[in-house]
Amino acid sequence: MFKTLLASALLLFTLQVNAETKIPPFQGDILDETHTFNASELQDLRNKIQKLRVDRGVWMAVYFASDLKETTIEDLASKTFHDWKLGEKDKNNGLLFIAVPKAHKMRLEVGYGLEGTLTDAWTKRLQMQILVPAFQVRKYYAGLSDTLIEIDRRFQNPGENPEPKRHVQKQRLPNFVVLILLAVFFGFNIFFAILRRRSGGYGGYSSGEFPGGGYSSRGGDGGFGDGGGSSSGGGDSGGGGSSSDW
Amino acid sequence: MKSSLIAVLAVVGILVLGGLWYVSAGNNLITLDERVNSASSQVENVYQRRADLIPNLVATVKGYAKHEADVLEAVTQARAQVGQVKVGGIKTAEDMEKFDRSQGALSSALSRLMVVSEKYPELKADKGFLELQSQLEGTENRITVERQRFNETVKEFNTSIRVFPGSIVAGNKGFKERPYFQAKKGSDEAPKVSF
Repeated sequence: MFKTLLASALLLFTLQVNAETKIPPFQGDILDETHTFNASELQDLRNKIQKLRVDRGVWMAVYFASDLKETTIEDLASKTFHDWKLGEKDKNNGLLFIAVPKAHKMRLEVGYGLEGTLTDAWTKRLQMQILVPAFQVRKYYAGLSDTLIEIDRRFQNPGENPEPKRHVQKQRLPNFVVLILLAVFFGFNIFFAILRRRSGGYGGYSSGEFPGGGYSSRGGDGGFGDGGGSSSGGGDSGGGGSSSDW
Repeated sequence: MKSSLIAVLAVVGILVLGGLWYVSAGNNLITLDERVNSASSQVENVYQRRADLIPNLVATVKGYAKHEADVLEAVTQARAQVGQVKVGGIKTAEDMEKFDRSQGALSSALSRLMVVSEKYPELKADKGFLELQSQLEGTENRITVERQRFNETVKEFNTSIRVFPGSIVAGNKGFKERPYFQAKKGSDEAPKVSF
């Protein structure tokens, strides 16, 4: 009877808490409620997240939430982390990136066990230098991808405290430039083709590699794990990390 | 003869079961009590973490804002006060009052300091200051989280010592209800650190 009473009291309490903010169930590396990423971007981000898990022992999850669910980004992050039990129980090596595009708010919530490496100051700098500028121009994929690379670098040299740098954006031409170059390229192609057809000879024109478009995708080596089949582990966070607006 | 033996066995059985239940209920309360203690030291840890940031913060602000001596003094004072309050586990309502009052005073002194620092663009651009600001922001968030967890643990403990029949065990063993943190008592609002 005692146990039942206690259990029902606790259940009631838990239900109350859940009624306030409903956290969706854990679904693996990325939960993209806002449909921000396309399939290939998702795949690349998953690969990077899994690489972090294998190489660095960081159990990360990314959550793009449709709204703030009537709470603060800090509270939402803390509850999501708690519900998803990110990281291994004895190591508390979970990490959660949460973004609410509708409210222009983001937070990186750091598990207890990673607080020593991913300090508040570092995570804030990461946001100000990489995530915020990228998200402001709606480059969500580039910003997040760079972030994953930076986190990896941070674990490589935890003592060196490297300044976060942009990776993807640097190697990649802006979309409109690519489009213009493409248009010019095809325009010339057609122009020359017509010219050749008119003069009779068609062959001898090899379409060269398109210049400038090839950015090297880093860490896309795949093959880790079973693609999102990570189970939540029982780790916890205590409000470490930082939040930013964009 | 046979029926009396059964009766004796039944009584012994009930006593043994009752004893076992009593012991396990007692142990359960001890476990919950310990969890409240550890949640309490977690809260004290994060507040300590905040206090540890203050000397650096005061030194940095002093470098740019010499005219704000009174605000800086208030922060230093409040920090010294916090250092003197050693509760060693928040057990009674008085412990809680004492703890919350001193920390609340430091919170409001800190928020004044943060407001004042807005007036100094050079300070706001200082790398060290930005770093400290983000650490302070992180620590305030940790404080919120750990206070919430403390309250959740206390709720569980208090429920189990008030509900019958656990209340009997609690009464015999001298377990008392633990105090909660009050949410947002005005003076205790976390300083808003904006960028």
